[in-house]
Amino acid sequence: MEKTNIKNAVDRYSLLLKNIQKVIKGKEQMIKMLLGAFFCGGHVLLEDVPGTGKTTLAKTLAKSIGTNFKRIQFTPDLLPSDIIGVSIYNHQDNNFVFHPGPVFTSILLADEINRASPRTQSALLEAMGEKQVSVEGEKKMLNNLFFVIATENPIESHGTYPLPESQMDRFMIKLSPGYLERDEEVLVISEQLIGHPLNSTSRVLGEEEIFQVMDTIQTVRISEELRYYIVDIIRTTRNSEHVTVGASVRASLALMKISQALALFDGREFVIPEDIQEAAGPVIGHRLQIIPQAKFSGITPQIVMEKVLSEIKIPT
Amino acid sequence: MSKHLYKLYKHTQRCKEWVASRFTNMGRLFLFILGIAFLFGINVQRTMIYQILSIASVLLIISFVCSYRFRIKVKIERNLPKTCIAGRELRYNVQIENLGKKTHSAIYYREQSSKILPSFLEYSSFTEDGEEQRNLFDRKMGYYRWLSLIHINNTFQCIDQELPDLAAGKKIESTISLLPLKRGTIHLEGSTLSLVDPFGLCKRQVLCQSPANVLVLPKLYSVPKLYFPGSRKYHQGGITAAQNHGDSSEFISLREYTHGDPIKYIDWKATARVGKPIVKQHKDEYFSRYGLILDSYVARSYSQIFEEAVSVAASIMMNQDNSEAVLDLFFVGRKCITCSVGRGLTDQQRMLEILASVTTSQNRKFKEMTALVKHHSSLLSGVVLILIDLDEDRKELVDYLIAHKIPCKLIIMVDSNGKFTGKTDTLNVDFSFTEININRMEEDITLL
Amino acid sequence: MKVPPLITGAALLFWGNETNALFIATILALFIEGSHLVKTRYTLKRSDFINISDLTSLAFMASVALILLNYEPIGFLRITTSWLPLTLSPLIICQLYSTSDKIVIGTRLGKQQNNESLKPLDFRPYYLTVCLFAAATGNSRSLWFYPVLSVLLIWLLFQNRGRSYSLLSFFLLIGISLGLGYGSILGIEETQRIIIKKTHGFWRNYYRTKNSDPFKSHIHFGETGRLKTSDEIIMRVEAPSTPPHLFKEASYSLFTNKSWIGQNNDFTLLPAVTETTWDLIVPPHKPGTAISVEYDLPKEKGLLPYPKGGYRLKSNTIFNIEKNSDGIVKVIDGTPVISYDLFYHPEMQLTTDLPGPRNLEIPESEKYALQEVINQLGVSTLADHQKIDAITHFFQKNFSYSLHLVGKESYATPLGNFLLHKKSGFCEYYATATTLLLRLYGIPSRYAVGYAVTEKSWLEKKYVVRKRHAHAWSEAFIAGHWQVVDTTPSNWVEEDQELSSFFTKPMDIFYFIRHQYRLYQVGSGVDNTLIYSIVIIVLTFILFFRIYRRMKIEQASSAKERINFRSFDKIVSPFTPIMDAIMQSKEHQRDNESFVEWILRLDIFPNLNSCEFEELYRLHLQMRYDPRGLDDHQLTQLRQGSEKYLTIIEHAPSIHSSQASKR
Repeated sequence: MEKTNIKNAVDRYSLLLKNIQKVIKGKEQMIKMLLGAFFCGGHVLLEDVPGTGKTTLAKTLAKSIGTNFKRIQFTPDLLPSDIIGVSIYNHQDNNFVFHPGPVFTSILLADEINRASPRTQSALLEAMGEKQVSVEGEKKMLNNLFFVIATENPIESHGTYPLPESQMDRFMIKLSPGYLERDEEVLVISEQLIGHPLNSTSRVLGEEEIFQVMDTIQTVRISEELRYYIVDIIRTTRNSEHVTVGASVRASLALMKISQALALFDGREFVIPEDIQEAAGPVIGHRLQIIPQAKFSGITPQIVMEKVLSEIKIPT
Repeated sequence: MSKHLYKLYKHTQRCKEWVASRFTNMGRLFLFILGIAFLFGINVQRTMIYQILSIASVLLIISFVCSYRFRIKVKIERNLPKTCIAGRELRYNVQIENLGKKTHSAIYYREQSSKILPSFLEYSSFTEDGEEQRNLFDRKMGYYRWLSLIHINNTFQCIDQELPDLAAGKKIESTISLLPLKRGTIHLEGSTLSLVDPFGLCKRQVLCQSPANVLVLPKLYSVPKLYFPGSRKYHQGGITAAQNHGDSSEFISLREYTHGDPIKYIDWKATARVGKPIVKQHKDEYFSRYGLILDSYVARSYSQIFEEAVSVAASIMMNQDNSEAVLDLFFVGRKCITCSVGRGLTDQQRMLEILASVTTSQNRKFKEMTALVKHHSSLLSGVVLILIDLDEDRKELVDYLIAHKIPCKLIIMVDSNGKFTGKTDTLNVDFSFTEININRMEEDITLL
Repeated sequence: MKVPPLITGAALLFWGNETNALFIATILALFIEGSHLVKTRYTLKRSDFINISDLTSLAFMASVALILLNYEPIGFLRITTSWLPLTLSPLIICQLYSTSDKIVIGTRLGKQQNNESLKPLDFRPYYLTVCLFAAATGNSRSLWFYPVLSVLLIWLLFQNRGRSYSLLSFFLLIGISLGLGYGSILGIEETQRIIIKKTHGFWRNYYRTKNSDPFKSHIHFGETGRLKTSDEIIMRVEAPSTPPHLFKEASYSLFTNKSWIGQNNDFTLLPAVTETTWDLIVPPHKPGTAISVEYDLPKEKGLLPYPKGGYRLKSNTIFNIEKNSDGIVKVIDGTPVISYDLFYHPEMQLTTDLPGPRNLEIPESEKYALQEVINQLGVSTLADHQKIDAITHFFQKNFSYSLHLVGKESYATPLGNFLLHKKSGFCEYYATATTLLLRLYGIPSRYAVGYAVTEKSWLEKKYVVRKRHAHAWSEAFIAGHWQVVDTTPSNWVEEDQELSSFFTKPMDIFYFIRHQYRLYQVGSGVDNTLIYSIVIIVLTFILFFRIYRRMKIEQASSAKERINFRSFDKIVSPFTPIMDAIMQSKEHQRDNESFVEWILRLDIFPNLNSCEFEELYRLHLQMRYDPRGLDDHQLTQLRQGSEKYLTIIEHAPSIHSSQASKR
């Protein structure tokens, strides 16, 4: 019984992956991690230069699973009501009608999240965390399937409001895709001679199937030894000399879930250390607060994570 | 200063450098053993030190002979970051490709700075920090001055680090660690590869030319958050780069909707009450602008107190997390630099880079600074002053600020004596200030 | 610099063995090497390190004082060095048991001044050096010193060797070095022997020995140079009026080979009359004058200088004396400074002091010169005392005083050169010449050495005798008693004095103080050194505790949260040996490479069925990481498959060589 579940899940994942890859060339690792977070019910933060296909990716994903997709472009004068929605007074009926904001969707692309004021940011972040919003005292639930891809532009930092470190935890993983390989870039422009592949994307999975995959992920087994391994990694980050505050328990949970997802994608019912190591960087990196002295000495979260991983003995 | 003394010191320094380049640490220990054994072991009957002497000298001689030849052909590529912080280890990757046919193992890598020994002019015109306190003999001999000058020119410390095996024709990557000692620029002349003889006493170095520069930002301390006193004043304009096009989110009042107002500003509750569309009026964004004054008026080109003052300025600046107050006016040298520190990382980097290159205003008077601050005083909501001394001129500035009701936080850097002009009771000092002793930086700075 | 573990302990034991302090060395070695076993560490701040340096320097100074007190000053440097491992041990112990691996050495000498510029350093290599030097100063002269020293140095070098070279070349060079080292040691020893031999004569020509040998007195003849004189005060005489001019120490009768040889009279123990009184001449005594003498006798034994006619000796710093028939007195057991009262009367004489046939012997080689002088004098017919006067007059008129050595030059003997040509010299020559001349006249004579007491001290109310007042003269046996014949020009004292150095007066003060101290040391009877030593130790401990209380050393608890990794039993699957063998290969798995792709790349297994292998690998992973593990069927499958591949690996050539052959 379980075996079939696993097999189904793997098939569905491959299907989705292939579908996306028809549109997005290269970046397999990134898409794999993104789908991992997607199937775990977490959210993704992409740090990337403009024009690398983030919107396309989100749209493709939405189309592949046939759900609705909304995009918010964050600007400094964006108000929380622009995200959540607003109750507009209807004169005729003498009542307030709630017009839901873009957050009431399944797949949300929050573009350049670091350009909006902290108040606006927190409106979205709270929605992500609670899966509900409160409008004028009333609680409104968001969609069951709610997946946010937020993007940050690393270069332009004039007049930006960096996401508060405490809120970074809301994102399960952070990815920095980067530019394409030469061959891949050629492929992209060659394909678009014919027509944008996005237009020909079709739906391959339904919401139900997605929830089934999510359930299957939760059944992936992980031995106690590896659970200790995960927690050891997280605890070591707290001891690093370059870090003021290390990763929290949320990070341990996230790392475990993503490892399970990665194990599943590989067709296994159990997690192996390589899954954990693959997931560690994207899951933990953005949760670490690097001290300013280290920042200016060129210490990045990646370097810290590499060091942490090399310090801990891998169960072999 | 006597030219002969200079020549003597220069030769001594060259000898020291030669010894350091040909002998490892263990080798230098053996040289020391050799010297002591020679001095005390001459009487063969009294002690057996002559045996130590003979075996140590044989080992050293053989070692020296063995380390004579070392040829290597490599291509070195460094991935240096543009900036680093003084006092913090910098780690970066180096890729080395062995272009020769021979496999080398246990080669040591070190960075070579392009410094040269001071010229006679530099030596004679240099005054050491605290030179007046040395006795007459020391001053005449000028040896401490020489040592101090050498010490200042020493911008970084890089010890020999072992590389993995360099197979012929292959490339390897290694992480190198370097410790920048003071702010400024590190000029690297190239990389030194050395081979150690079988005994580990002598080594032979080969310099591979590859110049590079790294900017060293000032050393940072952990400063508690400064709470700027003073009221919010309404200032037009705010940050130039805020890109806050449009209105801020601060609400002042309601008014009736006029044609052209954006829909999103309609306050629906008020509209429901009144019956006509009512719009929320927003206030123009405003900030309190705070200034940081860095006193660079020292007579010498290098001063320890000034270096620490720069570090204090940098540390304060780095700790600004305040989205209300903006520390964006920076008075240094003859200029008032505006920047929007407090938002975004790039600006912090830029400020640190400016601070890294700040030099002392040797021959100018503090009155310049007073004039500059007076000129900008209308913009200031408050000021942090970092002074290296408190004399008449400086007191004048502080008095001016107080008279104009500009709240100021005064920090005075003192050296190990704990003295500065203002302490000698000739000035009426009736404002409070914080003293930071440069020998107790970490402790004193937390008292801010 | 890496210091290998246990080498410090070994060096300490070596030191203990060489200096006979093995017990202390063992304790120290246990302490130091114990730091590897005992895991407790203490957090020491910078100020604590400086306090410890203060303690160490205090201990060092105390030890120096103790050593100076109890041992001769000459050996003090040696002894201090040989105890350095003990005195410096606090520093190394505190480095090993502190949480930091370096220490800061800087003494404030009790002051509060802050020494920020001191850099921390690893004390171990320096401590090791100190141990080796201390072992060397032990001077055991054992043949094991060189081998053990070599082993220790090789051990140290091995840890730090240059790894670019093979082990073979290292040991080869070590072998060569040891051989050369041994050779150079022999060379140094030999060179020193040669140098000592060559300079032995050189030095001996220049200094008059202070404590004369009763059997031999060497005459300083030489081609070049001058006799060196020293102003050091060695004797003080207190007399009611002018003391006698000459104090005799010894006399000799045979001149041969540039030396005067004494008579082989047996010295016999002179019994004391009372505990502190000896009679040099058997009573009855004519009532004479008493003088007090203080004389330096560093070896606590030597010849006793006293004037002619001395008959009674009183002293409580002399314990045993011997006397021979000529009246030469030898102190066998005394104190480093002896003070004695001497009673003398010019007419008292020792009845046993008579000339023998030796007192008339003239060496053949000198006869030519002596005859020449006799001919010049031409007083063979006169009475003895007239002959003496003639000789005295002869020397006074024709000869002068100088400290220049006389060699033989164109004459057969130096004495001939002196008598016939140079006619200038110092007391030894005059005395020798006079004695031999007297013998040629048939008068029994002998050569005497002693001191001239002429100088009155400007500092104290005594006559002082310096080293340069050592004098030689002749004695002639006329009319039944020995008579002094001193032909050295009488202004010799003044002449010598002119050559005295500028520092005489200040040095006199120093000698005076030293003398008083020595008298005090001797006079107090009780061995004070023990008391002083105890006082110093107690003071040291008091200061020690004062500084110790200032230090508040905390035992280091793990400050930062230590990750205690919980260990799990490693699950070993049948596939694990294959994994281990694969992991040994030099080619590492690339980033985006799957396991099977990597294996294919490594090409360990020819004709690999990748599906089957992958299946096997999956089973291995499942066994290792899946909490559920494998069922029986899967386990058998894994086992069989692993065995198959294991045999392939074992029989195939090694992975490394397969790599090499590929290239």
